[in-house]
Formats: sequence, C-alpha cells, structure tokens
Amino acid sequence: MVNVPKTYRAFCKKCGKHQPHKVTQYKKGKDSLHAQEKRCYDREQSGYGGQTKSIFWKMAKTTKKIVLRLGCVEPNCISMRMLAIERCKHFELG
Amino acid sequence: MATQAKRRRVAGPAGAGDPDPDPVAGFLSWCRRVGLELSPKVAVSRQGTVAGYGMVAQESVQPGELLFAVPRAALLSQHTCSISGLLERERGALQSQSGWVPLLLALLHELQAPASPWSPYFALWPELGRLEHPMFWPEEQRRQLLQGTGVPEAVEKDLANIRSEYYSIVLPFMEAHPDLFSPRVRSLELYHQLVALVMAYSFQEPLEEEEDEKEPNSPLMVPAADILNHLANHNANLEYSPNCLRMVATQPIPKGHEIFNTYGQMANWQLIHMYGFVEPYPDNTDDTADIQMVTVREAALQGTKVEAEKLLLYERWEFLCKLEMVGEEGAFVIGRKEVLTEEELTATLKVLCMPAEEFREFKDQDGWADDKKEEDSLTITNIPKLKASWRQLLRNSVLLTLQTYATDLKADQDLLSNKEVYAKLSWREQQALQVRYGQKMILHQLLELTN
Repeated sequence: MVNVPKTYRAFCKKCGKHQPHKVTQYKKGKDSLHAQEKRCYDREQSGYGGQTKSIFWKMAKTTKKIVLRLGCVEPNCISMRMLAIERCKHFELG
Repeated sequence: MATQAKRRRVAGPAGAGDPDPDPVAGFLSWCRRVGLELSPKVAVSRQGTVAGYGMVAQESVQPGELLFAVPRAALLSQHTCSISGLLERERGALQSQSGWVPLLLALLHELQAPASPWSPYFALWPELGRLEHPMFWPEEQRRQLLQGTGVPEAVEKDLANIRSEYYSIVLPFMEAHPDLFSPRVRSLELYHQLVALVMAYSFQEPLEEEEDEKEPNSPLMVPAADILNHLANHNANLEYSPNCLRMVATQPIPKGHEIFNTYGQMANWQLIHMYGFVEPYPDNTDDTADIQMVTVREAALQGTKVEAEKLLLYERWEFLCKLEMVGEEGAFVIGRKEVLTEEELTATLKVLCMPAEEFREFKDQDGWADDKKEEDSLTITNIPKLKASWRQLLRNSVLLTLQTYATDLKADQDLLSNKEVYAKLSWREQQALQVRYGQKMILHQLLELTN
C-alpha cells in the first residue's frame, strides 16, 4: 500500500530551488497499434508453459512502476517532471 | 504472392497402411453436428498446402470475410472436457509452473475414452510419433545444428519441466483415477508428444488491456482453427467473441491460395522450438536474433583495464538490474528493422558508456534526470547516428555473440546458395540452417550499422 501526498516540496529544476509541487499519477496515453503489439521478451514466454498462438503477448511482470508527475506550483513556472517510484500493487494519492 | 511465400512442403505421415475412411469427411460432419460453420469458400486439404493439412480458398476471399466460427462449446479444454468437474475440484493439486497440466490431463482422458465427443477431431491430428520439434531430436544433433540459436537451452529446460511435472503431478493423478486414464495413456513418451502438440496446436485467449496483471489464460484446443498453417505474411486471424471464435480474413485471398493464420510475431527460432517448422529466408519478416544481456556486460568488461574500472562496471550493471532493464537471464532482441527491446538496450548503452561523474549523478537521481531523446531510437536508420562509444559497445557485443555459433555466416551462406548441396541436406539440417542463417544475417546487419 503506497500513499503519496497530493502536494509536496521538491526541487524544481527551472526555479533552481525547492518549491511546492502538485502530484498527479502519470497515465500512458492511448497505445498506438504498434505499441500494442509489443512483445514481452521474457524468455519464459516460449516453451513448455509459455504463450501459444497469442497475438498480443502480455507482460510477465505483475506490477508496474508508478510514475508521478510533479508540477511546480509557482505561477510563472510550468515545469513538470516525472518521478518513478518502486513497484507496488496498490497506489493512492492524498 | 502466396506462391512466393510458400514454405517447402513437409513430407506428411504415410497412410500407415490404415484403410480409414477419409478423416476429413468425418471431421467436417462432426463440425456440422457441433455447430462449427465453415464458409463454402474454404476447404480442408493436404494438397496445395505447405505442410500436412491446411485450408485453401475455393473462391477469392475479401478482407473481413468470415471463414468459419467455432462455438465455445466445441473447444477442447480443461473446462469443456468430460472430466472438467474433477479437474476443477483438484485444481490445487494440479498447480504447476507451466499451468498446462489440466489441459494435458483432459487430452489424456479424451484420447483413451472409447467414445469421446472429440474423436473425429483427433483423427485429423498429426501422427504423434512423427512430430518435428527439436525436443524429439537426439541431443547431440540438437546441439550440433542449433548451437548459438537459443533453441538447445530452451529445449533442455522444457524436457526437465515436462519430466518433473509428469512424475510429480500427472502420473500420480492418473494412477489415482485409473478408470479415467487407461494404462495405455500412462506414458511419459505420450506426455512428451502431447506437450509438443499443445505447443504447436493450442491457442491462448489474449487478456484484455486492463487485465494485464492477471495470470495468462490456459491453453485450449480450437478444432478447425488449428488446421491453418502460419506465415508472417498471413491473411487471416482468429477473433475471440463471447459465444464463438471467428477466423476472419485480413487480406484478399485469391482462389486456390492457402489461408494462413498468425501464431504471433514469431522469430524462426521460436517457430522451430514451439511448432517444428521455419520460414525460409527471407520470408520471415518477424525474425529476430538475441544478444544475451550478460554478453553486453562481457563486451564492456573487455574494454576495462584496471580493477577500479571493472568495479565501476559492476556498479553500473547493478544499477541497471535495479531499474529492471537487465538481468542475468535476459536478452536484447534485434529485429530486421529495429531493436525490439529498445528501452532496455538504450538504457544499458547509456549507463555503461556514460562518464563516471555523470553516472554518479545519474545514480543519485535514480535515473530520472533526462527525458528520452529522439536520437536514442534504435531503428536501422538511427543506429549509425548513435554516439561512437555506444556503437563500439554494440559492435563488440555482436562480435562476441557471433562467436557462440559453431560456424560463421559464410559457411551457412555457402550451404544455402548451393541448391544441389541444400537439397541433399536432411529436413532437420535445412530447418536448422534457416534458423542460424536468419539470426546471423541480422547480427551482421547490426555490425555494418555500427561500423
């Protein structure tokens, strides 16, 4: 269970100092058709117990790394940056 | 054109002196009984196909046309077989790493059942004693012909897993229910053959996008759909609907041409491993070559002179492991047009090649300083534009990989280009040659791009 506050102070590259940042979760945009066909290259996907006649190969990992978008709250600064945190099954903001 | 794309025809199993009435007619009649509707435009045939049975268009077919629909009740799986209740109750005891045991038990039961609902379907199966998978080749032949391709290692793993699951789960289960599994199916050899059959003929329903995190579905048998052969340049595919599975044309199919499904984007090494065939060069546009991740580390190590540099290299490697970009077992996958494991390889080249101070900083920021730049893309057009240090590391990794094969590209090229010599090779030798040659061509292309 990972809980992250909705705002917190972090270093803003543009301002050059710590500023409050708004935190949102990064969601991938709609997959392009090409990305959807991306294979999982885990070798375990082939062989006894592996995938057969499946067009969309699935990721072997059961969790994804959570990516946070930190947006600087300073009115003239609109810099955003991404911050990845460890894998977890449940993630909450606030 | 389909004729160009045809694979060399495999010599099918002989009649074995068995004067059975045409199994195809029996199967088609079964299809009608179970509601499996075949369009009149398709025919099941051994003529005009690349291997064994296949389906051929009797009239021209347009993209989007329905070729046949298989009702879910006609599927053969652990959920539809005659002992589905028992298999469900005993789910816990049948758990294994592969997840295939319940289906295999279903097949073992139905095969020995005197009047299985699927008997006419079994009649169209290939002869189990004549499967072409490398797992049935003598070990020495496998190593000699496929060294460096990744296949011998994969097969060894399979054989160990099959043996282990048979003795620890399957055989005890069959012996505990002797009325359901007659002694003639309690055979490790048969189990091997059924595993190969499931590898080659089964289907797995893809999970929905949101169900990404769930266990993959178990394999199941889809009569009629498994008659279709595979090509990278396929002209049909299977669509999953709530009530049925539909084989739909994806390209126009001229009259007389074979109908090809896709088993996925498969490299030749995967095709030979799981299905026992390959596509001859240059037909398989999905072909790939692997570069073991530890080989790249090895190549980087070769460039270090002092102990301190070696230690730093191991630190960089540890960091990449932490980011889950690399592992001891993994491989970078190189396709014909681009590197398919782009994210992992870019990260690896970047981290292994960056100056020491930059690495310190990078490590502290946990690797999130930069946004991914466009110049880091790993397509064949972009690779020549990469930093010199990246190209050098890539090049050395390819050279090390090429050394793992028993012969060089030229040796394979000579065999392939000489039609008389090629024709004299055994079927297995030809297949193995195609696997090796395709991989080496990809690796050599990468060598040129990194020059």
